[in-house]
Amino acid sequence: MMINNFYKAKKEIADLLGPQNVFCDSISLLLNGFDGSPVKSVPQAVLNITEAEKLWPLINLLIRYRIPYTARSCGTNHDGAAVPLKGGVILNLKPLNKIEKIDTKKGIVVVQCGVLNGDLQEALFEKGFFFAGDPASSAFCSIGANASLNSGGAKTLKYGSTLANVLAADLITAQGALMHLERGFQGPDLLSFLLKSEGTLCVISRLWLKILPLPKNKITLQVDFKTLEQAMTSVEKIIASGIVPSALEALDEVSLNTCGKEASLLIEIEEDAYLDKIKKICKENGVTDFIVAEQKQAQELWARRKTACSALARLNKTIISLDPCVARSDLTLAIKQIKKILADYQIQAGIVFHAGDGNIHPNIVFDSSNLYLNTQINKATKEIYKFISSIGGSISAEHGIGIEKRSAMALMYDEKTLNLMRQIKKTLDPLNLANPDKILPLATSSSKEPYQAKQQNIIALQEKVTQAKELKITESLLSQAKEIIELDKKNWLVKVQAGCLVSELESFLNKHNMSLPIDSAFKGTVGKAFADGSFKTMADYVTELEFILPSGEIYNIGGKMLKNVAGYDLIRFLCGSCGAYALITALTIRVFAKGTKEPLKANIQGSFRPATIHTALKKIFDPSNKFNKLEDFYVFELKKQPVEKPRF
Amino acid sequence: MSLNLKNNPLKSQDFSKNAITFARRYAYLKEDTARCTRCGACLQGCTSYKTLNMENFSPRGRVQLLQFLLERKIDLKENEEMLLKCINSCAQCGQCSEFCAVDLRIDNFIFDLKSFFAKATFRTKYFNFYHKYPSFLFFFFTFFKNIKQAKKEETKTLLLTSKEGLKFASSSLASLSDARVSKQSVYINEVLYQGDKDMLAFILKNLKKEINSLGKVRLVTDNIIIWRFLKKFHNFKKIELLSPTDKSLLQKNNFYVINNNSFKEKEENLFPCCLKSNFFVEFTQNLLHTPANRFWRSLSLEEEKLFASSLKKYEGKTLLALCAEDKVFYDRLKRKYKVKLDIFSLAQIINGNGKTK
Repeated sequence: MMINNFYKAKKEIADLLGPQNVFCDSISLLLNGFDGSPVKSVPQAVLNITEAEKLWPLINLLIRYRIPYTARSCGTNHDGAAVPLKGGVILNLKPLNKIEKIDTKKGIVVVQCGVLNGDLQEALFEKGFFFAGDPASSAFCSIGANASLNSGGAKTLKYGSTLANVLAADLITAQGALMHLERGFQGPDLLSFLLKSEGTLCVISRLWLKILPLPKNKITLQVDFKTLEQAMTSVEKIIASGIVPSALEALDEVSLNTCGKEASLLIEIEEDAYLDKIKKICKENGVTDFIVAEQKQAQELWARRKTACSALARLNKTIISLDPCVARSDLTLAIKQIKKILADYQIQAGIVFHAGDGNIHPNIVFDSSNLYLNTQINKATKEIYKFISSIGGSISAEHGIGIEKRSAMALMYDEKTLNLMRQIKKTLDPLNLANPDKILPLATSSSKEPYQAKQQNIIALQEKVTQAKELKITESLLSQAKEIIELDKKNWLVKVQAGCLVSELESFLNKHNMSLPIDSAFKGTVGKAFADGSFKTMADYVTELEFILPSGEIYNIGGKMLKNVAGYDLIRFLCGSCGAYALITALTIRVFAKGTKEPLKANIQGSFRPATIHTALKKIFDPSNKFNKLEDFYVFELKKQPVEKPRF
Repeated sequence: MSLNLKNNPLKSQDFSKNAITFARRYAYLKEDTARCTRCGACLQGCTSYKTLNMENFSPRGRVQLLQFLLERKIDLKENEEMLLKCINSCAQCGQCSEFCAVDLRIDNFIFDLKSFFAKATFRTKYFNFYHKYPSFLFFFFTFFKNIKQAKKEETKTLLLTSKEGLKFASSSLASLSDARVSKQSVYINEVLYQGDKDMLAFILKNLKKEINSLGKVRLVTDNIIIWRFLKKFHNFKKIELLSPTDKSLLQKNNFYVINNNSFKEKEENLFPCCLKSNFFVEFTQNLLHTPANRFWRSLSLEEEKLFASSLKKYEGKTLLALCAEDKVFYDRLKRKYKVKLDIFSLAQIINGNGKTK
């Protein structure tokens, strides 16, 4: 435990929160130092926060006295994100559990961060609405934690992850500033970037969420297969035929607890037209049972899926749940390999997965008192992560990194990317007080080879950037780089260089009966559409990003997987950054079957007015002020901008 | 007159020493508590966690507490107050074991904890007093001093609620200024059902102690069963029943009162005259007889479905749960089988939450 000034500050804290909300007895300390992971620690005090308005002065007080703090609401995280590693103070946000406003006309709900996801869904259900973020643990996890880990659950495939459904937030940054951020603000998407930091950059106090009307027609299908391969090939074919189900789940032999059939799919669709198509595809691939469930049966099926993890837990003493994510086309390969690794180490595990997203949940069941098994499992998980990152997947899709997967980050990212993330944490939280020592590996250096550009035109660009003393980033700079690198029909992804025109790309896709999620009438390049803030929510559809920093180094973040929560969300940060931070060279974008998706429409309200947090970040990305200058953006007049209250 | 403390056999009754006896006596629970994966599934059902909003008062927290106690990691001398708070805040409704992912019987653990420490506190407080004030003269002096002080103080209100009535206690407390909840009353319902007379006597003794310690007290309850029991059979003459603000609401035809059927039977055996009380007659116009709460937990899925379907004839009507446990059960049925019912507890109606319907 770190020595700090808590006992000096105790009186002031008690004055602020009321003495009945400050707990220092050893029972409270022992009972608040854990979460769903095997890691435990002991804080110095537990603070009950009963009013959202008191968070800002409290955090400033903690910063003044240099006391580390960790936000915790329900503590159901799997990876130790809510464990106070350096001691310090636990902020118990569970008392902030008010649903403040439900506006069904605008489709917005305002909630405090401690509201349970299940409670919110129930309140909305009565009014005929729902919230798209729906993890399997929704009945006992809070909305604030869902946003800070971007945990999506089953419905991500159609409605996007939790972050895509957050419209605005009140948060307190690690520097002690109270900010109200909205998705509509121009400039880099600070909202998503700060929210999804597992509490290492900010503490959330209030959220504005998008809600959707309940689908009128919901069909649930149960499809059984003899072998896992048959199931996976039919999943691939369903997705490849352009169908977007609202959920596509799968369970394996161990978790089904049956013999004879190896895999079972659970499909939920909202359009009748898809039913025949899916039936046809499944029949071609050797289906054994095809059941269209009635309403009651459907409820039972979903209950079985949601309690699959707990049913597995009964097989032995403890359970560990992993959450790697791969491209959909690699699913069969990944599952086979994971099963092989587990079999090599003689470990029992049931695999449940969101097949539509490529997100796998191997649930390892074992006897925790057996020390030999513990070491075996450590080795096996490391090998799984090694394999996942070798095929370009992500080590975490919805559980977050926390402490447990911290060292595995070194397998997924190369050293320069890790250093970039380390610098971000260092500048936005110089004292390392907000949820210290999480996400980033402390000692292990990356074993991955640094990323290098493959195309000639990009290498030329890189040289140009290194040699120039000052560089204005415009469309014409990328006039040479306009290749369409790859069209992945299996995964519905297209990889293009940033200089490619949107209209050209659209016409190319139309030949394959596909279309972009953005308005094809937009005049300009793909890079411009992404970077100048015309489409604020475009980052929801971008899975991979390649960019050059002013130092001339090239970075590549993300991959072909749909879900990725490992590390800080740089893709969302660079969306709308107006060339002030990096030169974007290539993107991988999700595409849809023609006519199934309404494209986003461009709207520019002007350029952004940078706040202090923008300038702080500029110093990391562009210390020599080589790219577009932040000072230039002050010229434009604007409607709404982030407001920063002065520090204490 | 003073006692030789070194050879005093009573010295071992010090509260902090209980940790050792507890750890020895319940050592067999170690394996069971180690099975808890801390997943948090039990949090969704716990009423005390939802009202008090802290891990200390959650089933997961209590299982961890038990584990720490068995490992003797907690110094009981310093933490006595918090420990009793953690244990006694549990309403023992048994929802946590229903949701538990690894099928732990959490309510059984808590029963063990509760019964052990209830006896331990009683013993140690008595003997501590004996240690401190060996002289009987001094004892009487302090006793009368306390009584004098109590007379000077203003009257306080004490709310007696049932087990899951705790969930609504915060809302019913809002209408009463300076009120506090009695911990002892929480078990009355449960013990009445079980028919354990020794336990009843123990609780009543403690309840009287609690009331005496407060000095002038105004006793208030929102639970009809507790009210009836205490007023009729144990001479708590001053106990008030929080009456609904709008009585006409209850007399309307579309209002049904949920009554625990088998509870009634049991009660009839125990106290044959209780059904003749006047208050009950006011409500009996529309009675919905249902099985008792213990019976619900043993229902199989099919039986539960049958029961839910039989409820559908009450759709569109309003139900009033006398016992707060009933409300919790019916709410769950409502959610699970989508029966359109409006259910209120007494406490909710008192605060006017039910007025709009």
